[in-house]
Amino acid sequence: MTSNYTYTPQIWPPVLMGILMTTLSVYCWRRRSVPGAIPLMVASLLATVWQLAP
Amino acid sequence: MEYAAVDLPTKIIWFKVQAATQVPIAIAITCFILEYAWPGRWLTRRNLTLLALPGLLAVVLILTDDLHHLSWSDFSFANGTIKPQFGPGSWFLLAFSFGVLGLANLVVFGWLFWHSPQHRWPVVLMLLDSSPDA
Repeated sequence: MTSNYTYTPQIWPPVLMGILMTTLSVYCWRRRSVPGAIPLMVASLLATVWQLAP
Repeated sequence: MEYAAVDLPTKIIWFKVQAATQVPIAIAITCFILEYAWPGRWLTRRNLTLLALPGLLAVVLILTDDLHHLSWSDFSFANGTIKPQFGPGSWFLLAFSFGVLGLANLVVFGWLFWHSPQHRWPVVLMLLDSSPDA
């Protein structure tokens, strides 16, 4: 079985941003009673996927 | 994942995953700004539904692109990156994303302008700087 992926240092900036966005979404979820927290959580969760895709 | 992918089909899959999230992100940011600026006033259930529909359309259009090629007519690969040829669906979604983000910009600057009189000139300067041809 062959892998479709190989290691490249270019993955690190997206991975770090993905971790940051996930942390932000967890932070928003813990403060979900604040106005706008839930849309921001959704945006940061989607941004996590957006960051990890390239 | 696209950088780490070895073959072109895998790179294209990750390119499509990234593209599928762009319109929903623009919509979510707009919802956040509307709700944060005026809680409960603009982000009603009806407006949320109207805003969410193009996001769903974008995801469906991109995930079923192999059937109709409305989003991208073709993909080429050069210098380690994918070069897509945009179709009419992509142009529509791009225009929609810029439209909602432009609206969000106006809401933020309008909110700052009316609620912080001492910041009016900085707001005007930032608005001029964020105009598309600036």
